[in-house]
Amino acid sequence: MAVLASAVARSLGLPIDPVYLPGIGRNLALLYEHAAKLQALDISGAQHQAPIYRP
Amino acid sequence: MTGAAWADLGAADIAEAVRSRRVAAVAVAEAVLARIGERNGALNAFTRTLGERALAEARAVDAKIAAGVDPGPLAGVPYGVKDLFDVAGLTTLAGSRINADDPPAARDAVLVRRLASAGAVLLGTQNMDEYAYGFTTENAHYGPTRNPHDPARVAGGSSGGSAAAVAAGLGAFALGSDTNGSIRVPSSFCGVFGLKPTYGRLPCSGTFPFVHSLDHLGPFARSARDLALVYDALQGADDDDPICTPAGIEPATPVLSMAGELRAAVLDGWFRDMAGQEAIDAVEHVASALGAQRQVVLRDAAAARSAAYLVTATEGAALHLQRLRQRAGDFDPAVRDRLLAGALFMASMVVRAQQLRRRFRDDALALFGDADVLLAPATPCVAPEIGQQTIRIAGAEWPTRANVGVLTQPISFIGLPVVCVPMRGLLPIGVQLIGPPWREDLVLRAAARLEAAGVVSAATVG
Repeated sequence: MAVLASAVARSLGLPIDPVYLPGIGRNLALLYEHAAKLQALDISGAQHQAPIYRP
Repeated sequence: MTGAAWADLGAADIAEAVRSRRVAAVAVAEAVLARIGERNGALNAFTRTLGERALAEARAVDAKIAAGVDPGPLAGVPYGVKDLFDVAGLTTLAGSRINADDPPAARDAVLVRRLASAGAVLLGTQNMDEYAYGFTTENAHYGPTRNPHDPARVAGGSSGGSAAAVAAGLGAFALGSDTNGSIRVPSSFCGVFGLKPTYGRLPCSGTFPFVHSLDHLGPFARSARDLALVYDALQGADDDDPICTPAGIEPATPVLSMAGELRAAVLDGWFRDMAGQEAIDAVEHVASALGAQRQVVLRDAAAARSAAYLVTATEGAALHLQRLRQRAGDFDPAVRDRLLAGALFMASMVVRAQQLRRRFRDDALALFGDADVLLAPATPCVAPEIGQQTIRIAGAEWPTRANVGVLTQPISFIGLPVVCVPMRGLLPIGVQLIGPPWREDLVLRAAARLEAAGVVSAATVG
């Protein structure tokens, strides 16, 4: 995962200062925890749309 | 009435007094500017005050009245704006050090222009979390905003300066923004009324964004009546904001005290599981006053909160990508790390988050078949102490900064209108009154009814 993240960061031109790595790692782990909750749902047929309401 | 006493009055009372010439708008502005001078050092609610501009706007109001010209519904009412609203001549900092190098705004944000047309008097800009990414207003560059109810505690965020200012009487109202709870959380912690309108109701033109697909703007005030009065002055279509509704203005003030049944139901499940006892008690008190007998469950609220978290991190990262490339070291480290993680996260899960959004919205709308207003706590607890790293929710410790909004995030994720009403105790805590899309009138009516019954209230603190 660290190798993949480093490769993505390089491709985006983002800084990979070693000082940032623990914080980035913590936050990536949190994002994957949240993603796991979505993975557990059956929403494959749902439309992909932000909730813009029509008055 | 003494000069200082004018600063304690609400927007409607000040406007009425100015319009009827019982007080000059300049005298009100001077009183509030003096109070800011006395109290802001301890609270750090305002980042910049605009004394000359405020007095000039107040003089213009007085001149209109002298000339027999209608000065507007907010004549002489002093207010502040979160530091992400453009103010002509000032750089829009958005709580950051990076933006300090930007040129000054050429003109006011559209909502500030509308308030000027209504006769309101701008006092200055107010503190916030950097780039609105936080719930505590513990700003690494400009310092924390302190809660007027207890200066050792946070004001909430990210519109913490705005809520603290209104609670302390440093203005009759304020404007903030709410992406995941940034009006409702500080409203809860500071014990003031806050309105997050329907997504797309108020234009965001001339404000610094955070997450375009989640951003809302709205007011804080010390009464439901003032909240409605300000909200009415803010409404209207805007060609510069493609998300803003082209629908006409739907004034809430005329229907605020309208009689008639308001069917209320309490959100159970996630909204109870993630609330502490004081938050549960506050909701029960409000539910009892509104005659809410039913409890309803909004399916997948926990997942919706997670989806909002992912959309925020990734869309926020996309917005700041160039700044992250060039000036990563100038960010608040906590914000930088969250944004960098968002930039590296996988797109397929963001699409999945958007898929859930649509279904979650449909589930929420179905609940309004039997209810006009849904009730939920605004925050899991009262304001934490400044520097407090974790809060206790459901028997576990959670990082404070990212989790104070667990109860607000699912609702803004689907753009529903919410008034956060303040329950007073040793420390205040807020309750969300949640309405169907475009029905701000319902949640404002419910707030006014609760206030008239003495169930909720806000007063100047300190």
